[in-house]
Amino acid sequence: MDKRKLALIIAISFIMMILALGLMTALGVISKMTWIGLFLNVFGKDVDVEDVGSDVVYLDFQGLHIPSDAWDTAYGDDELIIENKTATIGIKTIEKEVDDMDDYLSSKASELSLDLSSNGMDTYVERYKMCDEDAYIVIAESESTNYLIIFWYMEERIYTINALYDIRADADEVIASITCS
Amino acid sequence: MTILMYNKRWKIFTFILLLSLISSNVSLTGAEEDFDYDITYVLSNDHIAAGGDLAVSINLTGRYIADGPYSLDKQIEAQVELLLDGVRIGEGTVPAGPMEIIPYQEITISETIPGLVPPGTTVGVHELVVRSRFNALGYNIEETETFSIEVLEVASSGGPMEPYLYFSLSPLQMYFDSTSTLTLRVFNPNDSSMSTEVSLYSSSYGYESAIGSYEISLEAGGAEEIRRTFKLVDNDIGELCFIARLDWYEIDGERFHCQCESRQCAEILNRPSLRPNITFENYSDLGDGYFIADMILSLDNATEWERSLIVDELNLSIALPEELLIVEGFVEYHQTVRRDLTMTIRVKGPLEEYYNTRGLLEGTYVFGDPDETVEFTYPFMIPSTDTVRETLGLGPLMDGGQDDGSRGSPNLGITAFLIGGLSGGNNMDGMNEIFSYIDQLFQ
Repeated sequence: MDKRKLALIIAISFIMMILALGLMTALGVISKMTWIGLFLNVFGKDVDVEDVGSDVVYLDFQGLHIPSDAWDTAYGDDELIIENKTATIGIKTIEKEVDDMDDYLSSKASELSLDLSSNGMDTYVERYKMCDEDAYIVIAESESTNYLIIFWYMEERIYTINALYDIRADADEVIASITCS
Repeated sequence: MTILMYNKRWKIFTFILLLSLISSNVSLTGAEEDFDYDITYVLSNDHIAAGGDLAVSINLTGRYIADGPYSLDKQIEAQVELLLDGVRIGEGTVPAGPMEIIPYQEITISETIPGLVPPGTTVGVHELVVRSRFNALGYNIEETETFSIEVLEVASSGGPMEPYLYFSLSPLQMYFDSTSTLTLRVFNPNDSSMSTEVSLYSSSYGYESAIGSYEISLEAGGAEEIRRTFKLVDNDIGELCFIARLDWYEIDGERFHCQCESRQCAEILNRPSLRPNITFENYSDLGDGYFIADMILSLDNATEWERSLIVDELNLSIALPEELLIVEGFVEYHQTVRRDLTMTIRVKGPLEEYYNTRGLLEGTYVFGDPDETVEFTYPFMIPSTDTVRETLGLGPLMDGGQDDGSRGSPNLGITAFLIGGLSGGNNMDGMNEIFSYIDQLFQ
């Protein structure tokens, strides 16, 4: 085989390989991240990354801190509503003086669960912790709606976090971001 | 549906229980929902002379988290092996069931697996692996726990050693009509084979009765398991122990006498926990705008062990909405209770007027010595006027139209919204409705 033919075969093979790899990338067989990883490995260069920092603006609400610029919010003195994708989260606090708070919260969890289940929703109650306080979480589901409420007692107030959601993770994203003073 | 639910629960529980039995570091998402447990492996000693013995205790404590009890009908076992540098030096099985699994009742399962460090083991640090396997119910699971032990120089022979008796009761807790499995593991710590005879007794309040006698032959470093499952049929018992005794053993044809004894006592449960249930049956139209119905109140022994209880004093009171009258039965009730309690209370209510659909059963019961008082409050739903009318073949109450949320259960606004769904609705408005309800709930 002469050198010209050999070079032609190599060139065609190379082009075919490039086209095949391009086709596989387009079809998703090879991910773009694989290519990036490959190039980084081959060329061995550090990649400059942008430090996005951690400056999050918090909204202070009745002793709770909520990242305010992440979601749409509307609030008053005792109420705050946050919308996040499929979830709407309402935080409400109520001033209250109760002697036996544990018993009170337990009975309210039962009452709420009974109310919701008697109206056709599947409910269950779990113990929870919010701001290092004992809390209850009541979860209710129907065919079309999911609702949960977390409530606890802190500084002579009942705190409630109410969430309506299609996807639980959307509600959890907000709830998990709430911190306490 | 109930059967399916229990099947699922059973599978989940069994899986987690046995996985728990054989795993020291298992992490299952959601496991806590069904079986809240803690498991530890304890090595008897980590400095052992070559030819000496060791033992690993597997201890599980847990609670079954569910609405109702479940009966684990057959016994299942996890196999446990002790491997020293990959060579098996001891083995045993950990049983679970048959047993009634009671929600929220603590279960303790503890087994000790002995092993013998081979006399020729070199001095130094060795790896001891506890390998646990479970292969049943479609699961094939293997877990390991690793210890480091330091093998010392060969111990000087001090003559034949008495056999070791390891006794366990699984679960440790017993109650009337419950079953627990007794395991006696006899271990030969010598490097020669051994034969012996062991006798089992039960003991209660100092009175012993023989259960059985077993002749056993043991290889050097070998162990034999004797396993019996017992049901507690005496509902007044407060103390129950099992005793294993061994008077002699033979090695190489020579008989040695010993006073070997091991004792394992059950933890007898006697705390009652009455659970109320209220249903409405037998509606009839009185014809004067009222209906009458039977309100059936039952205090169920939801768990079998509660049948052993004697409630010295039961006090009940029922509060109904003012539109609903008790025409036969009790409003206040005081009595000693020895078994399930079912009472029928006749109630009369209006067919043409809406009433609050909630009642409240409050009570206390006293038990034990010294007295212990348990209080309970049980809110229950009363069928709405429309439900009663529907049962009687009457149409829904038209006066005043459909429920506007101002009558009946106070949450109709919120549930109407919740059941109506999010689609097409304004979630901000929905949240305001919820806030209104939250105000009602907590004010």
